[in-house]
Amino acid sequence: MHPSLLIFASIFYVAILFLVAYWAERRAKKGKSLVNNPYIYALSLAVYCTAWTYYGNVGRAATSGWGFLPIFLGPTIIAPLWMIVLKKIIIISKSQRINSIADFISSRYGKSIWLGVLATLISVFGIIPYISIQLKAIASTFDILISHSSHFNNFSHGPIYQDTALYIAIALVVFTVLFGTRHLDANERHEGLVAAIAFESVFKLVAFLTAGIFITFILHNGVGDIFEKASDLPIMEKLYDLEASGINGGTWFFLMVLSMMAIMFLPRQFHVSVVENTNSDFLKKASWLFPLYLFLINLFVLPIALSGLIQYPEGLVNPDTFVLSIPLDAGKDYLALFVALGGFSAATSMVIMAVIALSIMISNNLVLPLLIRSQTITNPYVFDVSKRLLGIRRVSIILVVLLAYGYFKSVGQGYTLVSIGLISFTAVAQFAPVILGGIFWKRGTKAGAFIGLSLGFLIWAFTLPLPTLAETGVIDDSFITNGIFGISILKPYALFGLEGFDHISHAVLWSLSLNFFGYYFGSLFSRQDPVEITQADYFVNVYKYRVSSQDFEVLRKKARISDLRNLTNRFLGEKRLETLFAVFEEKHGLKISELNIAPPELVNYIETNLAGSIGAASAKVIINSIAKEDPISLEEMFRVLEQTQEVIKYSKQLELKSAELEATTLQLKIANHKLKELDQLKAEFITTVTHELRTPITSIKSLGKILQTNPDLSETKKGEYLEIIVTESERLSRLVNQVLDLEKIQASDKDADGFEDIPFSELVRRSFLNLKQLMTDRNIRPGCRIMDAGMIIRGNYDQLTQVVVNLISNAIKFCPPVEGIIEVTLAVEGDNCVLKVSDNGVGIPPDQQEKIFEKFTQVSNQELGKPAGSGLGLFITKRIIENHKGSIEVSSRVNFGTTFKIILPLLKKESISFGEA
Amino acid sequence: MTNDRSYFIFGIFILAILIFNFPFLGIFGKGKALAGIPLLYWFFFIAWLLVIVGIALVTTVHRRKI
Repeated sequence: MHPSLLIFASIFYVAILFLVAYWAERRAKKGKSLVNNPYIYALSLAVYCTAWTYYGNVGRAATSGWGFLPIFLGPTIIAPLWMIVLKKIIIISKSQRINSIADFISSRYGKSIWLGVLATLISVFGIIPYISIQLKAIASTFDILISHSSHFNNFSHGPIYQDTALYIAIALVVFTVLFGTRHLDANERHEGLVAAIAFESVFKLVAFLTAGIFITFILHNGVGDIFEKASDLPIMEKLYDLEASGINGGTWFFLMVLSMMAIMFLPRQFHVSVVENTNSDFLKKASWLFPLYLFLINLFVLPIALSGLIQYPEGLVNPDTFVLSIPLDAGKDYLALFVALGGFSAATSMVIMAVIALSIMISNNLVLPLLIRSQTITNPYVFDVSKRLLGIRRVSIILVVLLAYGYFKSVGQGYTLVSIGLISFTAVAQFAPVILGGIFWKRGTKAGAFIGLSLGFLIWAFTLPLPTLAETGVIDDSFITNGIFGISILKPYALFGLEGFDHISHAVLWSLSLNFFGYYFGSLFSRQDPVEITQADYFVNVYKYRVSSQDFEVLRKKARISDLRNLTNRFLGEKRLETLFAVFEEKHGLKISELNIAPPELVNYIETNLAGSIGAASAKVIINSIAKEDPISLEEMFRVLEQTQEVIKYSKQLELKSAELEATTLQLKIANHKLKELDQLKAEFITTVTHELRTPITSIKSLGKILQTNPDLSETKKGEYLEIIVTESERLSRLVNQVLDLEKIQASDKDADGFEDIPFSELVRRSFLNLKQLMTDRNIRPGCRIMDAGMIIRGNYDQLTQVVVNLISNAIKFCPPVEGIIEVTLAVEGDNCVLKVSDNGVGIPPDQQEKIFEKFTQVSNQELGKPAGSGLGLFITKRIIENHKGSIEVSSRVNFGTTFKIILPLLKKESISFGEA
Repeated sequence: MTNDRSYFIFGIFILAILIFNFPFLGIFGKGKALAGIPLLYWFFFIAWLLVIVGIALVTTVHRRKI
């Protein structure tokens, strides 16, 4: 095949990818997101299937039979658990703005910088071999298509400018930089990229199935036919009996466990499944769609492998290339080109995603924390940080791809795709204890995580990649047989004397178990600092926090608004700063511009959002450079020590209770005060009443005695005395009645229960009519004008009657003996009804007008002497009126008369009429 | 997610681990064939498909309390 055709086809394919990505981003901007659905999400997870799956599976099947399968059964088995494990990770990551697996680990363990650095190093060193096999696969396919030599390893002996892999590497760098680092997204989401990855997933599946169908059904007559033709091959024994192929239960199981961890914790898998996730409910569909994808892409692996073994029995063709070689040798050049593009898509999708995930980690968890520590970035005169971050990302992309290329040139060519891929799987499996422990075990500490990860990483490096360097002659290989420094228990393939396992199982066993115990006991023997405690509680109990939407900061940081503004501006840009502040203002009902010092909530909020761009650890350091921590109060100390939400809730309830108690105490105090006052009033009242009672009794008693001791008094004198006695007795009984009335009114003081709708006009008319006779008897000219017949008010009928009668009786009492006039008027004024009772009597002097409403006050008049009455009438009247929410006024001129005016709130008017009274 | 659902999730997880591992796998690995195709081939792909169907049922069935 001519190279230009191949180059043209590749460029055409890449152009399609760009179009897909561009289209997806345009739709995302319009709000019609393409990737916001479970199908695209499941397809993006299929970035798991790389050149390893596409080419390596067949190779593995051709050499070891079923050995290829556990890597795909593992993800299927763990898929149902995604609903529990991955969902929790997604929810935590969304709320904490976590954007890589290193960030997740660093965040969980107190936003530790060094854990972030360690996790980044494990990822980078662990994934580089994996990327290198993709380079190898792409380069090999190109060479095979061009030279049609069907040999995977013969292309690298030439000057470097003829090396296909180098050009592939450069092309991939350009492609990834263009795709992944166009702009700094606050949440590290790349819709276009995800769409392109999903497209690649479809493409590689279709291409592989096409190859499988062609080989199985066109070159041969179906699966049964292939098995029959292959029945003499030595491989067949392995397909009938797993144990005959050297696979024992342990190896099989370890491979499954490795793949279960890989599907969740490979940096690129974490990126597509967690960081790029838009809705955690997509996991429901993805947890069976993705296994279905794996099922389909594995369906034809064995038939292709057997077909290749039938076709090339001499073993001259590398089994890793069967997918491509068979169509090519069948003369189907275009089919071969299509299949090669499928492999190209499998490899590129992995490289792009892995390199982007790694570059985020390198910039956020490795470079940035170091830069910040060197203080250059917090310098206010430094240039635009977001541009600088992108620069760091680009450089790390180049670096990672170059390292992968270097590994490929020095090591990768001597191994199969699968054996190198498994080295990477074992590396990322080291994340399992700290992540799973991190989200389910609150007690896991930073120190424990550090010990566990370091142990796992060291043992991994010693038992897997180091020997590969030795075996390919990069370093001296004597330590493999003799142990390092000649210590026999430190042999990389038989560590601590453990023999009889294959290399991968051996490495998994040692690295994971020491990692786990290091983490476990390291946690038990260390303590958490306050940040760790809050983060641990948040990660483990994230659902509870989501329900109660509580803030979870312990350290109350404060910072100057201007500092915070400058910082946010530099890292996130002016536009995003304004949106963030606006959102915060709306949520908390604050005006940030009016503040000088930012409250802890705002500082926390900005820190979380910064973490979305630059990682939790870096964000913490940057915020700490401008923020001061409040000294932890006793209450907060309590929170830190007790850590659990239950305790916080309990103490809040206690606070509430004590507040309630305080309020009750206050009420009791007030009530007590009132009671004391009333007690004193009562004493005063009794004194006055007894005094008032004694006066008439004294006069009755003395007159009675006179009558008793002087039987011979004249009849006229007797009559005179008896009349006085009768009058005084009447006065006495009136006084007693009114005191009783007063008691009644005071008892029903606040009691509006007995109130009913009262026809007030009618009430006034009746009261007036009852007293009319009395007035005419005393030569008084009575007048009554009721302006509206239908006035209704709410009140007590008897009490109101008493009020009207009291006022009219008073008027009668003070009317002059001749030409007395009493005028009663009732009218509506606004929402009130107003009753006026006027007389033309003696009047009340201005200095007395205030006092008449007090108890036992009577206006004494030199001419009339002490008037008849108890002095309680007006007091009772006023109390009744006040109970009815009304008011009473008096206006008077001495010798011209007095007018009492009562204002009561009107309930409604009814149109009733009755004749003028 | 109902609690019942998480029981089913764990159930299918444990079941899948058991059937895809030794010693269970040994049952199908004794040189037998069906229609010229090794029994293991049949077993792996049929069981795999059944597990996928099982996951789909457990994770996507709504409303009804499973």
